[in-house]
Amino acid sequence: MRTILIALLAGTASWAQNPNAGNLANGKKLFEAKACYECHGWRGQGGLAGARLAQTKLNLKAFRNILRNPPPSNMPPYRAPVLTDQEISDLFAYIQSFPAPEPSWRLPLLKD
Amino acid sequence: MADCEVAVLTKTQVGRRRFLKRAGVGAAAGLAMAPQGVAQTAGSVEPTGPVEPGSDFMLDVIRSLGIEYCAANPGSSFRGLHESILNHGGNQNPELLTCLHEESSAAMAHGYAKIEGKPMMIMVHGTVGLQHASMAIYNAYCDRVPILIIAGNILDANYRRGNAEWVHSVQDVAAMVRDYIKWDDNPVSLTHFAESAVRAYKVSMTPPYEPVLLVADGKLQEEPIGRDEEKNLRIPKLVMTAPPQGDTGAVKEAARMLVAAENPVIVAGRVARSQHGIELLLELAELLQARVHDQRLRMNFPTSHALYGNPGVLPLNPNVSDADVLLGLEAQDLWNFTHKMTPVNRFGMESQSVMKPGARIITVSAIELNHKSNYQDFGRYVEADLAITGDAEATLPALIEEVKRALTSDRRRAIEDRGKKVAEANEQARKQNRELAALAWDASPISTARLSAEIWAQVKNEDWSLVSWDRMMSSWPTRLWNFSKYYQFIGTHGGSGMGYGLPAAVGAALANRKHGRLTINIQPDGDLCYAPGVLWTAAHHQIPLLNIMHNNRAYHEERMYIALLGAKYDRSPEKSDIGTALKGPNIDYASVAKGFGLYSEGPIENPVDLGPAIKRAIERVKKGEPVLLDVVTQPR
Repeated sequence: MRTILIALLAGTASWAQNPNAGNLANGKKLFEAKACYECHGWRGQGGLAGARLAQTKLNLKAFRNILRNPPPSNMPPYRAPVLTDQEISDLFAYIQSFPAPEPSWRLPLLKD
Repeated sequence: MADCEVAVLTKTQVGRRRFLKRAGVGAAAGLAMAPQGVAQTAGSVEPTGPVEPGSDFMLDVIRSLGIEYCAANPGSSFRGLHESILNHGGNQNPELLTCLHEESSAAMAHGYAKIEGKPMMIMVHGTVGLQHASMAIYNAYCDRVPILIIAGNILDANYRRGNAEWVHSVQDVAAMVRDYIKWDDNPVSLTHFAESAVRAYKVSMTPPYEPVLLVADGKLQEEPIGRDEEKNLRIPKLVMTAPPQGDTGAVKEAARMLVAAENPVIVAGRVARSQHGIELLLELAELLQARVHDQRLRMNFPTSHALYGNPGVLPLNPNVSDADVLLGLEAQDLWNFTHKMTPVNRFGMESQSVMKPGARIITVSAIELNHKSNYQDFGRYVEADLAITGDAEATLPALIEEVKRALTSDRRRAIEDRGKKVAEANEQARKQNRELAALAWDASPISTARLSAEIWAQVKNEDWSLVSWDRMMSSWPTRLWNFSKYYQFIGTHGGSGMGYGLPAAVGAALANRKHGRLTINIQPDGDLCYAPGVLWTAAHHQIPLLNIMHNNRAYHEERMYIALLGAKYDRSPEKSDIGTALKGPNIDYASVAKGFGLYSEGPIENPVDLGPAIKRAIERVKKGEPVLLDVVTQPR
């Protein structure tokens, strides 16, 4: 718990300095290197192994909080030694770049 | 599974066999054709030519059980039976299926039985062959599937002709698999073999269905039938055991609890063996307007029905916390439904119930009749309030009648309102599924939702049968397709032994062949690599099968675990592909399949190319061929 708190406090200070400085290109590299796509899919579409990231309604702060303290699931906590606050910002920038899907009713194969 | 039809040999059929005509043969199961070998007419005089080997009689016993196919990789310890199948039996009923690995033989039998509803026979060397087959036998055991295993052996040391026969001989053949078969025997005479073969079939086909093993001793197979012995040979009468039903009083109490419940929920594991089983579960659910969570271990419940309870979540772990009465029917690992573990305790022992206070659990299962000690497939102990030992499908008719008796007009009105809420939630989940499927629609690698939708578009008007598990692709077929018939889904491997998928699909396709069904196998890449030679078996025996690769180029489940564990200890998951990824080089599955004699295409990486490729493939399958499309996919 102490480690988590220290990490959270450190993270808050770092984010406060650069609240919107996510690097999309680096986020893309991290998305693969940190194996995010394994559970969440290459486009963040999610699946039964991981939550949907595409079109997320989370803001950066909530996104970082989930990474640091995930809800009960197979998602482990990603603390500062694994993902810095800057890297989380980069990942968030990349996740936000996923294109919006076509409405399902416009895809013939998904019509009811 | 389909119910096994039991037929009876006529005296005419039996009378064609020299030794059987004197034998007072009783009844036997499912034999449609008479032996094809040289047969003598009833009343013939004592033969003067060569006498017959014991394996001819053994084969007649096996034929009397209605065995259609025998899958085997050739082995000298059962060469007598092999030769008898070809020349005495005319290679029909059973027809020999040439397998390139014993694991393929057993897994083919596994898939076949779940469509056909009766065992296939496999033959294995008593030592190395059975060792090869053992994992697939374990899968079948965990999945409650019948297989008739014939293991060759030479028990008499004086009869072993060289080193090969010494290293292929064993004192107790079944010892290595006895923990995960239901019954075995080591007959020392032909009469003994006949009795044990009939018993083995009967035991295997009494719920819970399981594999059984019979040793075919080499000496018994190859030595001629003695004149005196011949006079006494007979095949015992086979009468199938009626499946065990739950106790009448307990069933009545279960009905009372279910009718009185405010929100009963049904969990269905391996319930339906037939279309009748699906219809029974449907009747019970509709009577109670109860949500059904199908674990998808069999095709238990129509996926498009308003009471289908898990259209968008992992079938093995649905949310049942709103239930005040939970009915588990042949459920697997029911404890895991009713409890959860925290992330920390995922690696520990703590857990907590997710059931609301006062909720009660009813279980109906025959598996408690066959618990073994060593292997732990029985799962954690379920603290049921009412535990009924009996086969669920066989118990459902009585339970339905008791529910009908217990339903008052007041309860009927309450139940109707409950059903409307379940239906609304179901429709909402289906709509959400379609929206989620649209995500990554144009992505490459191809999304598993897109793959599923592309296949469905081209098979939905066919008489189709999906014979692969779909959890590894986020259950998209379950979420998007309309499953309603018992052969449209056959569940999973049972024991999570990889290498099951492809051979089980070939076995299931073989069973579907005579019905003219279009068999579809969505094939994970890692699973295919265990024993891909079964592709050749499919081509050689002209078994129509549409294989579509779910080629995500990794053992992703394991890779996720490595990443998860590393992160838990503040270690980066960047190395988690080492030992788990199937890249560098990429495996060219289209070339692999082509090498085994299949029409193939791929790798297909652009989703736009998928539909036309599936169309071309189906045209080939309809002509009687197995085909393979290599599709590069998203991880899940």
